[in-house]
Amino acid sequence: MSRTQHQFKLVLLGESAVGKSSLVLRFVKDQFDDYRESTIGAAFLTQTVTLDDNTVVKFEIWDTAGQERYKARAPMYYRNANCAVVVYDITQTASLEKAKTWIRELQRQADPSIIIALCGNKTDLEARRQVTKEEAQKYAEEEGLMWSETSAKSGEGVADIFISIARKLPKNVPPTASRGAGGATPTGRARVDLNKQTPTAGPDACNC
Amino acid sequence: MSTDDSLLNPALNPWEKQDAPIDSPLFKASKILPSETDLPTDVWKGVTMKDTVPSPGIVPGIEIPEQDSVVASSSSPASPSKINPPINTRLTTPTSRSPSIAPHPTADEVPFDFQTFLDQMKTKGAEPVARYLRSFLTNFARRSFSVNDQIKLIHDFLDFIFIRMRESDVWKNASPQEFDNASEAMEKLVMNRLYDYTFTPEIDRSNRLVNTDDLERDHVLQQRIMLFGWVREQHLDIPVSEGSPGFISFAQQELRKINHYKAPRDKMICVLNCCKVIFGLIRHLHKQEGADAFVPILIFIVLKANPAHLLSNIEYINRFRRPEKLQSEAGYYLSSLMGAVSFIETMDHSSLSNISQEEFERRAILHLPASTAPSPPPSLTAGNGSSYVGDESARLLKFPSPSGDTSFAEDTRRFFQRTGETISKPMNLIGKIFTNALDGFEDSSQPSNQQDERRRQESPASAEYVYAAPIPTPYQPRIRPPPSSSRRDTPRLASPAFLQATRGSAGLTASPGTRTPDVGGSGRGSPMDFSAMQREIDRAHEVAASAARETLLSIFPGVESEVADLVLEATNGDLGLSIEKLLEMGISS
Repeated sequence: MSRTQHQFKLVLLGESAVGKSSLVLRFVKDQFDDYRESTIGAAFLTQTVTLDDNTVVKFEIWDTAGQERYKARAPMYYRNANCAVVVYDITQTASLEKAKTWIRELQRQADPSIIIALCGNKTDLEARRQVTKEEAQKYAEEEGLMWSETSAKSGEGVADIFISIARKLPKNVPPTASRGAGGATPTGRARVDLNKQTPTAGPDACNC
Repeated sequence: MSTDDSLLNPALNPWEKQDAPIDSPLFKASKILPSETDLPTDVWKGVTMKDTVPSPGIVPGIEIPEQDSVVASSSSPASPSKINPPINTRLTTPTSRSPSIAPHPTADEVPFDFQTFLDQMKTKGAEPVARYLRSFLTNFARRSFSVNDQIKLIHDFLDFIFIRMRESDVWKNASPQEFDNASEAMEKLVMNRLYDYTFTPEIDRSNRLVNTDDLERDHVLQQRIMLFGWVREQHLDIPVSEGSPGFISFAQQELRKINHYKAPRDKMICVLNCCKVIFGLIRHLHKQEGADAFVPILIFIVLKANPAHLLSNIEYINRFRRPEKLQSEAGYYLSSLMGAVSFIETMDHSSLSNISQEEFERRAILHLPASTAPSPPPSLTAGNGSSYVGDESARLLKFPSPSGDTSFAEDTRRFFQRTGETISKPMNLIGKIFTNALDGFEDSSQPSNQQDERRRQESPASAEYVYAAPIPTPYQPRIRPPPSSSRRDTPRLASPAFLQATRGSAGLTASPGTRTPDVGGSGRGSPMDFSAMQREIDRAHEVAASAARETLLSIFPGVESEVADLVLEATNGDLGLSIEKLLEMGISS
């Protein structure tokens, strides 16, 4: 059976305590009783998603430290990233503001073809909600971002966001995803990233 | 371009064939050593590196089942609108990390074994490969190249030699994993041999021309870190528990080993091992695993360890580790280390917690390096004696880590609790870690912390610079039959004697079996004396084995050393696993 596996680098950004790490652990662990592939620790994780059309998308997930003092180090992590998930906490307005600064930075500095998803976490704390869905969604639309809400605690929406990204990623990056700022996206940029994927196992694994 | 005539000296590029994958002017000179013959290449013509060199993870065969095997998709309703297509399980080897000590490498995992590779290189089938390699090393050593030329030369040579290896009888039928191991070993061999020419501090030590600013940057970083000798956990918001000191010194020790090994691969493993211990600490602290917790501790460890030539080491890995091996997990942790360094390079009071600007400055001034700065920790690298010290392989720690359904914290706790129950007199680092961790859990008031503190006060000046005799990387018992009698005579050294003993052992390199003249001009043995290499590596393993044995015996004084040996063999030399095994056997200290 012929399958194409694509490998993508996903960087995880957001203030500390918004639940970045929980979100990704939920994504990685939920489906599997073991995520042994993280051999060192849970700051770098991988997860594979198989789409309807048999496309296999492997995410390499690079977690970043959310504390303000480490912000200047972020470019080392989002360099060459194909996609970014920027997380905020729906119970903390300030965390959305912080997310917006990350997004602006990505739009300015990251690879122009990067796909950015904005993710409002902690929907299990609905009672304490400060950021409305409408507000966040409107912002995301204006900036051409993907957007959704999740609860790392209950697992709600977690897989969906990664799957949506996976769908969007392989090659056909819709124009909306390449957001405003970076404008002059050199065509084929995404391909460059694809080609740099680790040549995987068998001789048939890489047909790029 | 400042290529001089000697570049065009035919002998400079003896391994080049018309199909050598190079276009640099450095490689235009064609001609081959007179004795070289063309190899039959038909069979493997067209084999590309992508086909032949898969990338199963950073440490093939040791611990990382990175080989992707995507499990067949469970059928899904092919409705395109379905929001939630099935995510399919992937992976792979049913390796269990559960406390039962299944020796790690599983059926489809071939452990990396440098010895095996050296043995293979001695066989007739590998002769053409060995000839190319020898010529390359010889000519690389003949003149000095700029760093960029070095990088290109070495990577191009590796690409080239991998193809030749695939063509040879030895590796013709190797599985992708086996071939990857062989490629790793080839990279390691080449870089072991070229260490004096490529690792900046060694270039300097051997009085060759240094054309990078690595050493200046090393020096500045080291001085800067000394200014921050007073930084404690609270300044980086790192929680502390009684078990912390053990983990923290363990992690430092792993990081400092970076100067012991020569090959980029091995240096990288030291970084990974350090990170792995940090995650052990995070679990121990019951913190959420992730970058938020990891990054501050990594910075803290770098500050505490202050390894000599850290930037040179990082640069060296970046330059000479094959790029495909610097992606994914290795890439992440190397980037994190670089991030930690860059944080330290720009750190001021606002980067830290719980400290005012005045206090920050006051303390930094107090820590201004004295004019007679303490000399950097002694390096265990070559250049001090036998040229084969550091040739052996680093191995990824099998620190107890998550398995299946147990949470990390659970897992770690269980490990420590069980271990701790039986320890009465910790006599070393490992014991200390266990005891401290146990104290944390049982709230025992007997503090080995105080001893720590006392020790620190006793030697305040040197505390940061002590190169603790490493718990050597787990040794790997030799499996191949002993062809050479001399190996049995290898003296067993207790670890404290390691430094001096190996330094004084230049004689080791002289071997009757030496096949090539000393091309390096360094007078330190030929680059291709496999037997001498193996002897030295065996020796390093002996040293590691004896240190591991000592550690075990100190934790379990009741165990006879033969038993300790057996257990170490059974666990492939892994201390953590060995301790578990002895505990499981019901042996108490």
